[in-house]
Amino acid sequence: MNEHTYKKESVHHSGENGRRNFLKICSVVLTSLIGIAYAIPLIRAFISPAMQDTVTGSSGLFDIGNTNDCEVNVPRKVPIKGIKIDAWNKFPTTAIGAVWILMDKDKKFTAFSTICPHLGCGVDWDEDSGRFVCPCHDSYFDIEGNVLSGPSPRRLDTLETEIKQGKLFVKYQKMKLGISEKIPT
Amino acid sequence: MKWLEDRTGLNGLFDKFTDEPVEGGAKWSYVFGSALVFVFIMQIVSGVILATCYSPSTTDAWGSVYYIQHKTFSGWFVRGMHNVGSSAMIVLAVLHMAQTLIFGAYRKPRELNWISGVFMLFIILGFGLTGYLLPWDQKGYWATQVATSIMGLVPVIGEFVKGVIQGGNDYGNLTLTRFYSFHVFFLPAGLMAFLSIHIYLFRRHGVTPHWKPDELELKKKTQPFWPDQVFKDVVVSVIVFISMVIVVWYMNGAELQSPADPSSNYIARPEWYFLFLFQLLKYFEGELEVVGAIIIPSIVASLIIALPFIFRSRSRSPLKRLPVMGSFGACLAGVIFLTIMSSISDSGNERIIKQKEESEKLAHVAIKLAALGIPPQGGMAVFQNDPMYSGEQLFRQHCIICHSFEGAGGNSAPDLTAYNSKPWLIGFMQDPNAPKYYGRTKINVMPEYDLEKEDLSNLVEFLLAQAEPDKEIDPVLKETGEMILEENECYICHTYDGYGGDTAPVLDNFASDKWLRSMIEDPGQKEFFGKFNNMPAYKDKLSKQEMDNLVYFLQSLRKKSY
Repeated sequence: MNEHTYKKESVHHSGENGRRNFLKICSVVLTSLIGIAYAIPLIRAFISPAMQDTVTGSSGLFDIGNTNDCEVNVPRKVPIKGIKIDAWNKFPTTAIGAVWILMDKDKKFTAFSTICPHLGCGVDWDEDSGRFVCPCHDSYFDIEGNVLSGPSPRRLDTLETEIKQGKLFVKYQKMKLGISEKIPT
Repeated sequence: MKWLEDRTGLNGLFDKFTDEPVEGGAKWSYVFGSALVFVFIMQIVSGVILATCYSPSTTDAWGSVYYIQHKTFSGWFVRGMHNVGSSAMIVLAVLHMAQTLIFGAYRKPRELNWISGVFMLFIILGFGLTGYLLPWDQKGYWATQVATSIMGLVPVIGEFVKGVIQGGNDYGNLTLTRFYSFHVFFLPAGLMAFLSIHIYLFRRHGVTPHWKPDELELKKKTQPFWPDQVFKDVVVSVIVFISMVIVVWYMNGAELQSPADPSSNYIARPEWYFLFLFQLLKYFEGELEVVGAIIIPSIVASLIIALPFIFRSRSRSPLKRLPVMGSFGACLAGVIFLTIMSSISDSGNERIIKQKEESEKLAHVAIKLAALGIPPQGGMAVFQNDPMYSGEQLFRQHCIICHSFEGAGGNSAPDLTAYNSKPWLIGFMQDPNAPKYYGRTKINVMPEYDLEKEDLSNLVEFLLAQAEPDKEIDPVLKETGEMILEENECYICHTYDGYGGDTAPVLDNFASDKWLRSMIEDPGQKEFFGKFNNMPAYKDKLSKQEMDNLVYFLQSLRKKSY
């Protein structure tokens, strides 16, 4: 009943509808303007981690240790220790990853990242079958890192190594996952 | 549009929500409720964005807020808006309440509108209280302590309630996880529930129009809520929004104090809207504390809730409801009085002003150091990033139990004021067994030398040159120095350059970083004080980093010109 009071009234007053339409447009426009003005900083804050390096840390060559304690053709898992900066935190030297170190009979060293190129699980060495195996999706790799079977799109990622004064160093870096080329992230 | 409308009937829903007759027409005095809803929505949105970066743990909270404030794009602004939004809600809520009282909108049959509104006011205060603990900075930590301690004062159940709220016997991780949960789940859910009730009841009973026009006139002047009232609401929301932006801009966002330090004697002051309660506490001493902390606020709160039942006058005109207007005025005056008293007593107190300045300085240092990365031990650990600060802390913690320093400290070991500086060493050479030096120790074998002024100066210069092993020592100085050592038979006890006795400290690299570190690690080594030593070894007591920082501090004493 009440609803009709003002509707009827508005018929009597010409121009009342025009005024109301103007108010409607103004209300929508002003609300949208506040919305946009507020959304800009909110969205900027929301997306900012995607535009910054939030997790960083030591890079370059990592000291793996003495080369004397390697056995020929037996992969050895060595943690990579470095400083990690995670958003606001700085962690003193902690494990930031690991590599499989392999020495062949000519005392040449190969380092594989333990990260499976498929989806990033930790690759394991299966001593019995002499293969690297990723426990998540059953990718198998031979001792040289080539794919034997399974979903991995590429071989295990080899990392550059260097020997200085009897010590082995590895250039540790993470690669993009799930693609056939080896590209650093 | 038609496709969507056919399937959802959104237009119909919109009409249903907005098609409300406003008797007597749209009024600027009705805007406060809508403005509150507007700010509440802004708080939800900014809160959700802040939550994408915030971490509620004692080790991470401060760091994550630091990160929001200084490392994300516009994070400072979002946080600032959220912070100012809480003040805006309090201000608007009080205005809304005042409007309700003046127009008599609490009277029968709107008692429940009033009561649901009062509950929402308490919830808004709850948001404020739980919110400012979250950064885990000095202010949040200490001001909230006061609030939870008050909870503990409640007879019988107090300690239990306090334990539930703060999550155990003391402030810690669970305090933060709980306050966070209250702030983002419990309180918003509660506010939304009461808000639904409040708006439903409001729609049921309609506005309470101005007291002057009669029924007929009101009916004639009725306007639709949309757009007539909405437009006014939107205009006010724009004003509120712009004011908030201006405040945030001028204040550079919300402040972030230095990380919560349970060992500090920070002067806790709550947000401005709690100052009146805080001030009230000062008037009740000892056993009466509970009166100011709990009894008076509870009575007042109950009276506010019961207000529609106490003041039953049916008239809309505030002039005919003088008792309720008077009570409201008295309450408001009381709150304003207490708030002003609190800020007057603080602004006149030199100790508080000084501490405020100091805490601002410390906050500044903490934020600068946080840029280097916050150690995993938490916000307070940023100070370890500063060797000077951390070194002095370690020095005061470990050394001045025995050593005297700048007129304070212990008296069983040499005074370390200006340690190893030129005046210190000159004084030492003139009288090594003075109380300031070895006088209070077991060491009594260093003879007093009566050197010529020039020789003394040269000897000290020569010794101090040892402190900078990276710098080539001036050959003339070296020769002069060695000659003085020779002439005064220093080599009998001291070794220098591979030659000499071993019953006194070596002079190679004397007072260098390496020499100091090695000496502090184990002063009983033959190279240092050997069998005369009385100082504990710090090899296993300090980490490498701590040792570096301590040495850094000691070296600063030598380098500082006195």
